[in-house]
Amino acid sequence: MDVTIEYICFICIIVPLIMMTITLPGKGRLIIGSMGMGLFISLLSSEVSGAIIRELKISDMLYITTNITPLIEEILKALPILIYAFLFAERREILLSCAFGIGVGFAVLENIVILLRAVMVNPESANYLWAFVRGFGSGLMHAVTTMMVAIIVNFVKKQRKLILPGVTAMLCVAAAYHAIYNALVQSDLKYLGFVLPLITYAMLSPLTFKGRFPSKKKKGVA
Amino acid sequence: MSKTLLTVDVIYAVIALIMTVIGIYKHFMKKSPLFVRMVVCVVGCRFFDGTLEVLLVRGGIDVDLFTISGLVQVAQFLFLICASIGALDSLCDDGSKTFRKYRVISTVIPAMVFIGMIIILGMLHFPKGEMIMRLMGAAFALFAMYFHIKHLIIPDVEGGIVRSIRLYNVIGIINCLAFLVCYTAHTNSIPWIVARVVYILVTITILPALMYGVKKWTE
Repeated sequence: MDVTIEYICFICIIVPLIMMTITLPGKGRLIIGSMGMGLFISLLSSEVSGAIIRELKISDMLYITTNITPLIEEILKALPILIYAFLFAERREILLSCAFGIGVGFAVLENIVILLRAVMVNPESANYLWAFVRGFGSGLMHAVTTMMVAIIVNFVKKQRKLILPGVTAMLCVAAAYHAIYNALVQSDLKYLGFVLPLITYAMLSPLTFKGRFPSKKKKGVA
Repeated sequence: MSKTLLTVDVIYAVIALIMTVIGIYKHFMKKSPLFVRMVVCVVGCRFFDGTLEVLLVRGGIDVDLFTISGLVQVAQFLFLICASIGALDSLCDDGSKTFRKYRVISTVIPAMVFIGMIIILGMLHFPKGEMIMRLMGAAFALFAMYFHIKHLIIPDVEGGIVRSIRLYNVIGIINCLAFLVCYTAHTNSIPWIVARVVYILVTITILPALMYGVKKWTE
């Protein structure tokens, strides 16, 4: 039953996105396409995580959400970034935008599935506060972790000998960040957990927007 | 005893956070060399490691099992390897035959430590799966240790970089050894706590030691 909900939600969102992608020009198509990829990865990761948890016969939810799912989700989210960066060698801003798109797409499906499951158990469990907390917390967290990997991928693309250690290290860091978020939101420090992605987003923004808005001085020179 | 573990980890995480913020402010906002930025990432990994371990212990999870905090500990060595491969090693070692003996010595010492670790893990009766996992983690620390030993003993080619970063490399070796003790000992045991305290000291000193070396080298 649970798995069916995920597939139904996925179809509901991915079909209009595909239609939109067909009509959009270049860069917009790429961003919406990455959101669609994020949705697909969300679906895939729930299947992979489910299979691994069944295989390992683990029932402790805190252990699963802090040590197994973050790792699987971060690896799966990083794969399209790696493939895209090395096959098409795109510019930095485009790579970061795509990473953000994948993270947001992932969070959209995850939030909807969690909302539906919560409403099924208790219809009053979802409210505006829940929506803001999930949107700013989980939504931004997935985007931030994918962007962290994209930043290092963009960097090591030029220094090939650093690809393996650099990307692996950043994947571990992204998984740890994800695990910290999951552990915080399940503890009595849950509000700290919801603020964490906002702080990180604010810290990463200068790196992301660098070069996007050229200064007047530079424009004058050009 | 779990209170001791929490206290040590909280101190460790707070110190790592302070050092990371200072590192980001000083070296990411201004254009510092790549290897300095990588060492800031190392300190950042320590913040993640400490924070996650505190949260896991508070949640009642056995941190002796596989946890992501163990992976972040490995990640810090990957960043150290990046720092060495990306810049430092090419400055210290030109790849000539003259330095072959230094490369051999740098390989033999970590290899001997690795063998010693296998014996100790066997004596402590760790389950086979866990033992393999710990040895895999240790391999990264030993690879980082190889570079630290090499950069400590190799003669200066030009510019005096080796002499300048000697203190950083000594701290790097202590860091690797502390990690290996942490990885070999059971959590909460006396060697584990001692290694964790050494970890805290390394977290405080590693970045200033590197910056001291870089300053001395560029003067």
